[in-house]
Amino acid sequence: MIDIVDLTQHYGVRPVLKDVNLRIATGELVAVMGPNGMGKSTLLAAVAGMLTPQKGYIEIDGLRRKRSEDAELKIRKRLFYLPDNPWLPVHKTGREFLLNVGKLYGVSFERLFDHIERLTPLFDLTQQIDAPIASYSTGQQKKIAICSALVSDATVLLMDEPFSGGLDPSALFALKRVMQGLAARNDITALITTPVPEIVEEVAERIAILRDGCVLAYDTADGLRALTGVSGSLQDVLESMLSPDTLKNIERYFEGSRS
Amino acid sequence: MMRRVLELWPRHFLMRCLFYGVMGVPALFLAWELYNAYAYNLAADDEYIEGLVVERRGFFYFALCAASLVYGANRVFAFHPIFDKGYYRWLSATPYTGRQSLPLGPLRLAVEDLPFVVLVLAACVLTGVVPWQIPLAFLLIGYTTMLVVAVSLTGDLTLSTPLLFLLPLAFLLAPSPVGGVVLILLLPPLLRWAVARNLEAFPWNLAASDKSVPAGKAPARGLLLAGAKELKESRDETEVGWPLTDLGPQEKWAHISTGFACAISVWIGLVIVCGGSFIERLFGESLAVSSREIARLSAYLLFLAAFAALVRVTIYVPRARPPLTLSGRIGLRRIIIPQYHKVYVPSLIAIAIAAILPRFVFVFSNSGAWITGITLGLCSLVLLGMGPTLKSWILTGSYRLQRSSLVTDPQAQVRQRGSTP
Repeated sequence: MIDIVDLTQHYGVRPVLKDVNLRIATGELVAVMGPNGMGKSTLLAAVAGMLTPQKGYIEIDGLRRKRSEDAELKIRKRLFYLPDNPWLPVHKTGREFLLNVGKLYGVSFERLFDHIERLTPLFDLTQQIDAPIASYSTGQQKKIAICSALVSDATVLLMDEPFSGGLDPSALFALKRVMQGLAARNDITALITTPVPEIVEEVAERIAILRDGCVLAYDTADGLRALTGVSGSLQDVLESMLSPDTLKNIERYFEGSRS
Repeated sequence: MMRRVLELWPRHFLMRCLFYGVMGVPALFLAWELYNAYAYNLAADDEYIEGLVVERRGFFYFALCAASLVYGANRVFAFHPIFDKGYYRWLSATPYTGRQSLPLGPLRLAVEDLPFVVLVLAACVLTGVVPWQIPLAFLLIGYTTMLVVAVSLTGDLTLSTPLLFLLPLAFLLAPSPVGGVVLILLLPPLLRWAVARNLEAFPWNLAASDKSVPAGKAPARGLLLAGAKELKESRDETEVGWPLTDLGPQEKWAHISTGFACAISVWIGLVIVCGGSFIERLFGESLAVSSREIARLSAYLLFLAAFAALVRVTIYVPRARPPLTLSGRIGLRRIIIPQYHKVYVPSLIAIAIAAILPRFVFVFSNSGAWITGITLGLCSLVLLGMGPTLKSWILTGSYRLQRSSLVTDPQAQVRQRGSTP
């Protein structure tokens, strides 16, 4: 379980997150959505331990982040954070990188070898897995980074924009299915950010909408529909919540070009 | 017997180069000067030749002391199993116990060492420029230093830390012949006991973590290969990309307990003080500083302390930035964030100590060794012993983790290497 309590974070004078409260139950997959610059990545970074919030705290499975050395180590052993732009050891092969990550998380070699063998065809990396990461394309680097999150066998996954970064359609489809598989498991808790509403509706059990650093809504897709009174797609629901003026602005733009 | 004696002499390539190098290079210099004396017809002048030998007594000093030091160090380096993974691995697979003698040669100082000792003593007596006890003290210093390294590598810090204190003792006793006798009577039995205690704990619970060299490698080569392989493996384990290098569940933090920090600081102080006294008594050069020289000494000590403080900061802070940006801190009038900036406190205290303490100690003593020893000992105590510990800082510190400038974008790295993604 992830418990975010009264989280306030600011780098400078402008707060990025303001009194954010979220509770993600064990086994739940939650997507954080919102316009750019509203604090989605900051929220994930704070949960991941990259930041020390100015106010509030985060608990993972009842253990508070950065409270004690033992608790923090326990949290680190069960949590994997994948930022949107991770650094990969480019002179290592994909397989070496995945083995190192697995070793770091204490995954047995038998399990690791088997997991890597199943993951590589899934993300179409069979040809590349034994080549240095330096030779990978941007999309392939994204794929190997996602694979590293999966081989860690962490029970708490934090993934910033996993569906972005040059993934091809088959990889998007595979990742979506993997996410659905993770959501179906009762022992994996996942918090992801993504700007694509269609994917969110398919994989996430609940959706947190962030705007101006505050949680605007936190519910299931149907719950959000009921909240906004919009019965269409999740895209429509989001537009009505986040940018009600977008349609008017589009019309105004085209009217201007006609005149 | 001869074979057993020669086996104790440096045989590893590096040690052999050092051993014969430290004797050979001064000998070559001296030979060159004697050749010149013959070339310019000065050889017939006995006074000139005698003067030359007396003038170059430093060569003898250096050659004898350095060779003894290398011989002593080699006695542990060549025969302690911890320095040769192949040997260690093989020995672990045999029914060897620490009470038996080691199969490749004795680690303890033995009768077979006597020929070297006799040779050194003979050289001292014949040249008459080096007191007999000094090269022997250096032999024991080399042996003790390498034994401290070996015992530390086996993980027995409770033994290696007290052993460290034998070094300042050696510096203290060596200059006088009586002290030399005490040293020779005291140190060898102590070192033999330490070796016995260390070997009794063989295989030092290292078997589980031993990722040794492939079987069949020659010991000397095996050592290098093992070192390289281990270095590579430890590097591999850290190569998990960012942010896992900083946020992963690693548990390999160097831990320095308060007791160990105190012991090391006292040791640093003692080595400087005793080393200073050694130089003063041996060469008759006073290390006392005048009121004018204290300013220069203070500056040197400040530079050293500042460097050590900088090292501490670079270990703690390379990617841990303040929770707020500088502009944010200025805007919020919170330039100092106590929970974050406490990490700089030990470094600042060490610099302050180095800036103030030398002049304060100078009021009581004008000995450069005492001023340096007390100042650097206290600086070490603060830098090593004052919290937060590295583990505590990494796990619970109040900071904002930022990707190091050394960790660049993978695409940029690829472009830099000139390969096509």
